[in-house]
Parts: sequence; structure tokens; C-alpha cells
Amino acid sequence: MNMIHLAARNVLRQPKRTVYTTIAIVVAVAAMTFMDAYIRGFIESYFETFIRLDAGHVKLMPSTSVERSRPTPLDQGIQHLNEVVRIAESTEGITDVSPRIRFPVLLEKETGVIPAMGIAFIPSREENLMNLQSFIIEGRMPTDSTDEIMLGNRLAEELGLGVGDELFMLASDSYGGLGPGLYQVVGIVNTGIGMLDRRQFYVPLSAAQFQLAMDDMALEVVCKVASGLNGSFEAKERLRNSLASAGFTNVSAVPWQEQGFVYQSVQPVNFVRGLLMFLLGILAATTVINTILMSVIERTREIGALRAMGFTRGTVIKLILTEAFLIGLVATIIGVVIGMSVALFLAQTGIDYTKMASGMDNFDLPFRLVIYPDPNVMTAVKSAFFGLLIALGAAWYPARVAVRLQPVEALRHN
Amino acid sequence: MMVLRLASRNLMRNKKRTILTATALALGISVLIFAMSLLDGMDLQSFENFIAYDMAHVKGLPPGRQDEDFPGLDFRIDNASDFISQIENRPGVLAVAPRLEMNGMLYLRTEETFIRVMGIDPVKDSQVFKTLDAVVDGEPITNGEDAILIGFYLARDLGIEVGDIITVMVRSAPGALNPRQLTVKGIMACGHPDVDQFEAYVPLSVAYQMALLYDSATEIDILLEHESMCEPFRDSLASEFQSIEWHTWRELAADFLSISKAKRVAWLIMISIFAIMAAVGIANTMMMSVHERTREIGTLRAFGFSKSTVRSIFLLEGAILGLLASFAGMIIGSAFTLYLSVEGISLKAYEGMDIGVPLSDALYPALLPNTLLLSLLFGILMAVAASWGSATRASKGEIIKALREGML
Repeated sequence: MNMIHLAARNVLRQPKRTVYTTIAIVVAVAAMTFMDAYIRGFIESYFETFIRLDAGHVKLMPSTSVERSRPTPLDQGIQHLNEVVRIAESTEGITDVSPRIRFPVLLEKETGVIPAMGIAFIPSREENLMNLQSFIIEGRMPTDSTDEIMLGNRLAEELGLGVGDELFMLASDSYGGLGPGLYQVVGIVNTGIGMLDRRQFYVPLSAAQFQLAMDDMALEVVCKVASGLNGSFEAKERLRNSLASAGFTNVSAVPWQEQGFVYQSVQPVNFVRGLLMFLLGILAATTVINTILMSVIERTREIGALRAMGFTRGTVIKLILTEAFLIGLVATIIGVVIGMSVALFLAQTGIDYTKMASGMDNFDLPFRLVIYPDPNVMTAVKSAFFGLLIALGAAWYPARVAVRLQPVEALRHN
Repeated sequence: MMVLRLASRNLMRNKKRTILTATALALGISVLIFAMSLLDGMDLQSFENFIAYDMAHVKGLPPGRQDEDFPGLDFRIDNASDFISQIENRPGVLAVAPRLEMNGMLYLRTEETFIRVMGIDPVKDSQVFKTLDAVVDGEPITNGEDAILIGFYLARDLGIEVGDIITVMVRSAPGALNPRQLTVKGIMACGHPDVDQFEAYVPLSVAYQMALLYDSATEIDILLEHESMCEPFRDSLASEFQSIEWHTWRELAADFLSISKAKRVAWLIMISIFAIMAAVGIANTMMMSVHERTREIGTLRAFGFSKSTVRSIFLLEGAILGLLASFAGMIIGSAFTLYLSVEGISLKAYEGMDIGVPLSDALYPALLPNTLLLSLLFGILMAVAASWGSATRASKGEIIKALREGML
């Protein structure tokens, strides 16, 4: 208590200098807090979008497709689909299972062709997966076992089609022939992701199976796991075991992290985050070292006196570290509060890049253009730890300087 | 001169502190240099790729074509060779080439995928674009043959090899789907992801047969002697050939350029956080320095130094500190940047993903003289601005009081 009292008095003796030190730490901690929340928010929405619209937590696919980067050819799909779906559904921890077919097709419009991608699924199974019903801007979802179709809003615009219109298409079927399909437009969807809204349409699985000659087949079966993002590896093992014991050795279960480039592509972001943290830390630390060093040198005599009165070197070091700790604590609290408030505020309103990106239609980024920072308790804890570490780490050198001189020399010091 | 000597001596008096303060600023400067160079490199490489594989210097398009997401052959320039022969002999023009672009499907066994089929005149096209130089396997196509060139990623993903016979289906100008078998003659890897992933090139004669057209083009591409001639040239073409929309590559890359600007702003915000931190450090040091030397300042004033001279001593101290730090930062930042501009930053992790830059292999930062100059100025201004408060303080106050009580 006595030590803290002494340290607090020393800190308050030089209010201006203390304010400078505080500002340096506050800026670093606030920046760090906000950055962490922002990056978390971005990465989370990026992953969530990918899992929801494409990967699921775990995807079952033909083993031959695992290494492919393009859609599976229709003749190499998963056979005995109903059986596979039943096995997946009865696997422990799996909450939703939905088979899908993705097929490329040239859609004709008045002045040319549009390379479009058809997504065939069982609409009633997608409520908790693709969740497209929340993004419909006109009409409704197609219903199971009908010839209904839902179009991305930009695609509908391009085709000049609206709810109630008919759409005819020719797609290559699983034998390599051309399969005709005639669909009734019942809905228009706007997912907010340009490349999907420009190119994708959605039809019931049964209609696509008929059109593409894929009876009881699909290209992929998407599974959702009760335990969320990180439960995918465990679920993959269980799915693999139950598929293998039923004799489906040519169907592989792939967790979302191993599908495509999405998971890997954020690794550089983590590296940049680390680098920025390091630089912020160093910058703040130099200021802190500087101020505390000054204050120590100015108090050389005083420290000599303390030593002469029986303070050990350790006690003096402890005193200076306590001073730094006090400043660091206050600064960290202010920094965390500022950073968290900004992040929490923006988590409500979102940071909207849509305006900045307007007129940049040709850049099809695979995520939504509104970023919601996602601050959590760990964000605050990490930043607080970071702030205190800067303060204490930076005070170490000045503390050593303070006890370098013998008490007598220190007392004589001018 | 006297002021300069005083200022530099003062900095030398407390070397450790000077170094510490300078370190903070130097770090900030080196990050600034690296970030700017990264963006400049990204821009330069992107511009090169745009011009070399996609846009040339000036491009003529049929009216309305640019507004369509997937334009068909209704948007076309007929009698393209008339226009080309009228343009190619003008002063300043290096080469002119027609291209006929069609969206279609590519089939090989049971594999299928979308492609953009580009009909080109191999001789003229290779004078405007570098696409044909980028063939890494097999041979470039020549006029009149039944052959196709496809992008590297497209070939790899579909398992297509030189010599394979593939089927390409496009919609012809009258509106019917028109399939055509072609031999893969070469595979190209030019480092522009759009080209390497989605494009295929056929001789113009084959494209005409697929499109059921003759002497039509969906674009006329012009390469000039110098990039700076783009705008006046575009203007003269626009007034002369009004049936065609003429664009410079900069107009065509407007989307990219506005993103690039937005990126710069985002980086500058981040860098300004570092700048604030560095400024706090400098302000702090200068404050200490004034505080310590109160008596000394009083003495200087008593000797007849004017207020403004005292002030300039401290401002100059800040400036010298900024200069030193900027130099150090320039050395660190340039070394790091130059190393990476030779090694390159691999973009392989982003393969297949649209990252908003037309680059696929590696990114090379470009260290421009402007960046160095800018960061030097920035460093010095930053340091002087941060010393302003302390310098002003030092120049105020009563001489007697400063001498007697050490207080300003």
C-alpha cells in the first residue's frame, strides 16, 4: 500500500509528463482494441457467408472431387443420394443436411448469353443453411418438387424477367446431352454478394435431377453441425465413420476449412495484425521509456536519498515499475473503453463500404460490403494485457538506470 | 549558423534520448515508405497487365456494349478493317488490332466450363498485346488454322493438354448456339488472372465462322507510341468516328483506379495513427528538453538572444531530429522494400480468388523517388509540428524568473 501511495504521488508530481505517457498508451491500446474487433468482425462474416452459401460446416462430396477447384462433372456425382442423406442425418451432432447440385448453363437473353450457375436444392432443407428466405426481395422461395425457380436480382434484371415469367434453358445433362428445363419464376433474391446475384439461380432438386438425368444423385451434401464453426473436424470424422460402415467409401467428408481458399486466405491478415500490433507496441514503448527515463534521471538525488535511507535496489525498481503500472493501468482502461465504444457503436451501425464500392460492379468480392466489428471480452482482455505489457516492459530499462548509481554518487549528482 | 550549432549540440547532449525518439519516428517513416511502395507497385503492375493483356492504350467499342454485363454480338463494329486501315497509319500509332469476343462454354469429355472466346488476328494482335508471347506450352496460334489457345488455370483445372480436341459452344450473331471442335495448340500464362482463368483465343477466321459474321469486331485496340498520347488521340478519334465509343485504358480501368484510391485512404488512416504516436514521442522529448534547460534559456535571453531566436533553436532541434529519423526510416524502409521488390510477395495463396488486382503470381513493391521525398518532408514537418508547443513555451516567460527559479 505504501509503495502504491508513493508511486501514485510520484506520478502526479509531473502531470504533463504523465499525460503524454498516458496518451501514447491510450492511442496504442484503443487502436489495438478496435483493430481486433474490426478484423474479427470481417473474418467472421467472411467465414459465415462462405459456410452458409457454399461450404456448410462439412460437405460430403465424391472423393474424386476433393482436389478439384471447379464444379464436379454431373456424371461423377454422389449415387444413392437418399441413403447418404439418411446416414448423414442420423450421425451424431449433425443438425441439418441438404443435398445440392451446382450446374453451369448458358442462359439466353435478347442480345446474347449469360454464363449462369444453377443451384439445385431441397428448399425446405435450406432454411437453416442457405437461409435465402431472409434475402428475398420479391416473391417467395421455390417449393419442394415443383418447376419453380428463384433468380439473383441482377440476373433477373439482365434477363428481363420478373415473378410470374417463364424461363427456358438447355443444360448439359449427366450423359453429355442437352437437357431442357422450363421453370416458373417465383422469387427474386438479393444476397448482397455481387457475384452470386449476377449469376446464380435456384431450383428444386427434383426438377434439376429430372432435367440433368441425375435420379437419386447430387454433387454435394452439405451438413450443419450443432457445435458450430470449430466442430467441423470432429463432425467430419464421425461422418466418415458412419459413411464407411455403410459401405460408402467413395464419398468424402470435407470440413469447411479445407474447402477452397477461404480459410487460408485470411492467414496473411493475421500476420498483418501481428505486425501492426508489434509496431504500435514499439512506438508506444519508446514514448514510455522516454518519459520514465527523464523522470528517473531528474530524481537521481531523490533516489539516492531513498537508497541511503535503506531502500534496496529491488525496492526502487519495484517503485518505478509500480509508477509505470499505475500509468499503464489508467491508460489501458481509457484505451480499452475508447476502442470498445467505437467498436460497439460501429457493430450496431456497420461500416458500409457499399458507397465506396459503387460503380465497381466488376469486382466480385466473396463477402458482403458492410463490415460489423465484433468486439468481445477477449478483445478487451487482449488489449488490456497489451497495454500493461507495454507500460511494464518499457519501464524496465529506466528502472535499471535508476539503481545503477551508488547512493553516495546519486546524492552528489546534479 | 549559431542557432544550428546550438540546436545540434543540444541534441548530442542526450544521445540516448535523441536516438529513442528518432527510432519511433524512423519506424513510422519506414512503414510509410513500405506501404506507399506496396500500393505503387500494385498499381504499376496492374496498369502494365491492363495495357498488355486487356485494354491496350485506346479501345474502340460499339455503343452500349460497355453497359452490358454479358454483351452479345448485337453490340459489334461491322467493317472493322475499314476503321483499322484508317487509323493504323496515323502518326503516333504503333499498332491496331480487332478482337471479336463471345461468351460460351467449353466441353472436354464430361467436363464443362464457361469461357470467353476471343477471336484475334495473330499478327496484328501480337503487335498490340503481349498475350501471344505468354504461351508456356505448345505454340501460339496463326492465321486461318483450326486451333485454340487456352489459359493456364483453365487447362490445369480441366486437365486439358496441348493436342486435345475440345468443343466450344457460343451463340452466333443470328442467335443460334453454334458448337465447334478445335485443337488446343497452346497454353498461356500471362499473370492476368482473368485471362489465365477464363479466356481462350482463336484465329479471327475461326471466330467469324463461329459467330456467322465477317469482318466484324467487338473492339478495336490501339497501341500508341507513348501512354501520354492516349487522351488527345481518343478525342480526335471520337470526333472523327462517332459510330464507335472510344475509351482510354484509364477510363476502362476506372473501377480499379477508384478502388486503388480507396485503398490509399485506408492505408493513410492507419499510418496517421503511427504518426500520432511518433508525434507524441517527439513532443514529449522536446518538452523535457525545454524543461531541463529553463535556466540555460534564461541565460541565452539575458545575453541578448531574441525570443524568436530561442524559438528557432528549439524548432531547429525538432527539424534536425526529424531529418535524422527520416533518413534512418528511409534507409530501413527502402532496404526492406527493395528486398521485396526483388523477391516479390507471393500471391499464390489467393489463386482463383478475385482480390481486386489483375495480378496472380507475385506482387513487387515499387519504390518511387516521390515516396522518398514525401516521407522525408513528412518526417521533418511532423517533428517541427510536434516541437512547436515546446518551442513557443521556451520563447516566452520572464528572463529573471527563468534564471532565478528555473521556471518559465
